[in-house]
Amino acid sequence: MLSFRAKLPALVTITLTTVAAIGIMLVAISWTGVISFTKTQLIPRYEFVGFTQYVRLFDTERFHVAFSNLFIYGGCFISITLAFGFLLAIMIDQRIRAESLFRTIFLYPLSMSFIVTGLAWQWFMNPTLGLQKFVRDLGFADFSFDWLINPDKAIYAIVIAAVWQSSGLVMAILLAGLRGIDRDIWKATAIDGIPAWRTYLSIVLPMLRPMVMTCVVLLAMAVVKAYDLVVALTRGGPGNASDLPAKFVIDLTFERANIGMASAAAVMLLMTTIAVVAPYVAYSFHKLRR
Amino acid sequence: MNSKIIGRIGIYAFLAVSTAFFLIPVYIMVTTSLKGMPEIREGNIFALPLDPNFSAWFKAWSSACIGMACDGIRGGFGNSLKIMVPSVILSVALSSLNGYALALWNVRRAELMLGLLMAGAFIPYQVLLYPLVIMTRTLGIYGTLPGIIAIHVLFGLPVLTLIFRNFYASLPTEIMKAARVDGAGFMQIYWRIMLPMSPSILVVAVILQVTGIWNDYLLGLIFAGRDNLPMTAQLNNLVNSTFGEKEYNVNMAATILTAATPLLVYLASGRYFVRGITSGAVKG
Amino acid sequence: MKYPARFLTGLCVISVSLAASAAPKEMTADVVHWWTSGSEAKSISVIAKAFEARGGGWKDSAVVGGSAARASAVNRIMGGDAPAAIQWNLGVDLLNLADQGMLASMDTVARDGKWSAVLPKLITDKLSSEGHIIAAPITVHADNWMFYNTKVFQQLGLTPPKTWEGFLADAPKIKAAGITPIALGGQPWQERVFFNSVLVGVAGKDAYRKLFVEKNAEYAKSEPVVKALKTFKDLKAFVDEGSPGRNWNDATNMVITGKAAVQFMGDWAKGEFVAAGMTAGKEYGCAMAPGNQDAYILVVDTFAFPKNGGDKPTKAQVELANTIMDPQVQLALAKVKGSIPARTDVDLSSMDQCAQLGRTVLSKPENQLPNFAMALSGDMMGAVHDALTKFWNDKSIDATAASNLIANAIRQSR
Repeated sequence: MLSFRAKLPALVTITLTTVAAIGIMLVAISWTGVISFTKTQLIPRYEFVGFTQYVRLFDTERFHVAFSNLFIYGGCFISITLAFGFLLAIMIDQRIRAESLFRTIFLYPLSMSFIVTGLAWQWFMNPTLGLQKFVRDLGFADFSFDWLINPDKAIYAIVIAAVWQSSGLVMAILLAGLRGIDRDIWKATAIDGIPAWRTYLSIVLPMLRPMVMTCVVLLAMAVVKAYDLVVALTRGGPGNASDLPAKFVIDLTFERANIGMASAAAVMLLMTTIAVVAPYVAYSFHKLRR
Repeated sequence: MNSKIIGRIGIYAFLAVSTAFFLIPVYIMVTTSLKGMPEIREGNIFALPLDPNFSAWFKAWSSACIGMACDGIRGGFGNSLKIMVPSVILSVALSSLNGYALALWNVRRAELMLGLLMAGAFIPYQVLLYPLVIMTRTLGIYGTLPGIIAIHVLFGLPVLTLIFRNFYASLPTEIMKAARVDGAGFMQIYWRIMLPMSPSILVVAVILQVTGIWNDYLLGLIFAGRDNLPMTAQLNNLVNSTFGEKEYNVNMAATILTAATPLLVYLASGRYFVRGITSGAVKG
Repeated sequence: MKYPARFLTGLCVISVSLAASAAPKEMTADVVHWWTSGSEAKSISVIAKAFEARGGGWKDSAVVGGSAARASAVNRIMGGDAPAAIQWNLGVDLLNLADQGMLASMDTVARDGKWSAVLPKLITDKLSSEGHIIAAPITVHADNWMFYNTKVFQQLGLTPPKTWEGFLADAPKIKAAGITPIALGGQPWQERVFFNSVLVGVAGKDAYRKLFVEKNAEYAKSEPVVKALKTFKDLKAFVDEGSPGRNWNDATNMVITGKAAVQFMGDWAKGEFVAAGMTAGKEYGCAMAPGNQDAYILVVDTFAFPKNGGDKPTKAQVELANTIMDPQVQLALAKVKGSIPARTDVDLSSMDQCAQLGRTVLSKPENQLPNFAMALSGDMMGAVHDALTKFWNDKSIDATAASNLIANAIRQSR
């Protein structure tokens, strides 16, 4: 087999890249963990205070808002994007005209940064500038579309913008899946008199499971990392109504100079992420080994 | 037959409504950026510009003010380029070499490392940021161009390595064996055999990185330093700093200019783009 | 070259920084600040021009937003890329920086310039850390001003409010006329500035002192504070719905254009009226906020000088400090920025009535209250902001619940 000498360049390469990257990340994660047990404010101060930062974190209203928003946002965003993206894929799969034009239009938001997406929707949803003003000017004085400035709705405004950005991705992935399905099942179900919508739900969808999984993972990653979109669209407002953990951590780290508590919040965010994606990583890892 | 026609109408109606949903924000941005301020004040946001002109675009590009500096966002464009080009080249080069080494050189514990890399792709940046700030400070590259490039390479490495590793692992093993018999070494095989076989996967990786790095806001804001702020960060500054009246036309023109690069990449690259984004999903 | 990146990006720096090229390198000062609105940008260029006239080179590092600018400054200091000067509000966080050994001592400059003789005692007290002078103060503002559009009040036959009750009685008439009574930028710090005016106006100066100077958390639940919170929330009906996220100067612009009647904001807002070519007492009026006639919630803008190599300030830093303390510069800056000079020996007779009023109110020590930057740590300020903005924006929270939130915020971050 391969001698050590022959393998050496490969080992060096891997050490300088993979091992280094994994090392840096592990060190950084542990470091954050250590800081979360200290009094650190502006600069690191390794004076250990046990779980004080966590206790304070759980006693902080804004932390609870940010985390419950994470689940509202994640749940709504992932389910709506999946459903909408699947519908788009099905429609495009109906041998329509100008298919590639539609595909291009549904996908282009994906190339935009969240900052751009956030700003674009901010103008549309701004009640004194966008849709609400437009409809009111038409004479419907009672029309109201104030999600952006309504504390109960602001998080859903972020969902709209995020769905706009990501539906095309789901469409593209599932469309590829639909195209891979044997056309004969349509003949079979037509003979049995099963309506098309039932075929999609109970036969096609299960066949697309791996693609749906891919979509869910991609969308979940976007949820956990959601920062730019909130900054550009609502700045976490009104008040802190649309705050998300990623923004909470950044604000505490870089604006409030309360790095101990920020690290505690970051650790909580990491735990949440692990709980959500660990099954998937374990599953892929398992497949990799085989 | 009638129901079929109704079905077709339904499909096209759905597609039309969806198209409107996808185009509305861009329609507003483009039309508003072509209007003058009086027209924006008086008219409604959906109206077409009466006298379309590009003056807001020029202002956004070269003379809109951010603080005392009234140079528009062209500086941000240059910064984003300076960050993006080396970051993309370095991360793609390192990752392809890395993926090749992991896939074909029977390295012990390769699976474990891949598993960890996969996990690395999911870690929220927030958990790593502050220690990374300290590390880059210690190295003296915090707030510099090399600093932000190193950070982009670090965060790009896990996903790119997995993409390349999966690609090289899918090649027939005979190729490797034959090359080894001929006595070729690690780099020789990479240069002469593997690289020439991988243009499509390289394109995918490059597209993924180009759009990802261009669209980055958070990392650039924190690590690039004030002289190298990327275009997205400058855009956010521009939109949030006003002098007297908010100039929506300039803000929207600046937004379009910022989005233009990845949009062009998208339009030019077609299905590679989708492949790039989906390979980010870490196909096991 | 310590920073190779600097070299690489040289081309870009030239295109970004204004006029920095003329001065020799050791006289070039890289200044981090957050003065980015129209009047603020004019203010910073007053300093920049004066500094350049003294042979200095100005490199402008504007960052939008105070907290973002401060974070950027701290990170640069820690990263070994310390700017020559940073704009900072006098107070707890600035003293913290000095305690961490990040700032150069300006003792010699202060002694040569006889600063202690020309600055108010409250300022000199807060300026020194362990006996060293740590910053050069340039202007004094107050948080608790009120600016109004005189035409709006004349047309409606109303007088500018003297008490919050009076304003609550008049506000419906303003609203009925299709004008937004209160121009508010719905960002936490602006809501806090507004609230503090209400707090002082309703509950009195002592309530403010107990709560935010002594940090008496339990006092947040007292009857006067709860009453002030109630009044604050009652005023919400008179703010337009475009408020959330708005910048302060966009709110000022609403008063300038007559879309809104009044803004409760620090007197940096005056700079925007001046920039719009308006005159105090004619097109717009200024007064202390209702019930705040004998209170001055003090904000002091200073420039601090991070260590650039050694404990002693560099040549550029010394010259910049002298520029900032130049009476002519302070006067010129105050005129565009809307503030009054930090030096008490500057003659204000050439300034408008707002400045005169400000100095009169300020001159009595019992009127002086420290603002949040001066009295609270960044951590506590953030926690109180969170509580206040939650209350202001969330319909379901009443004044009693809000008083608990505030008590909690103070207790946790004390």
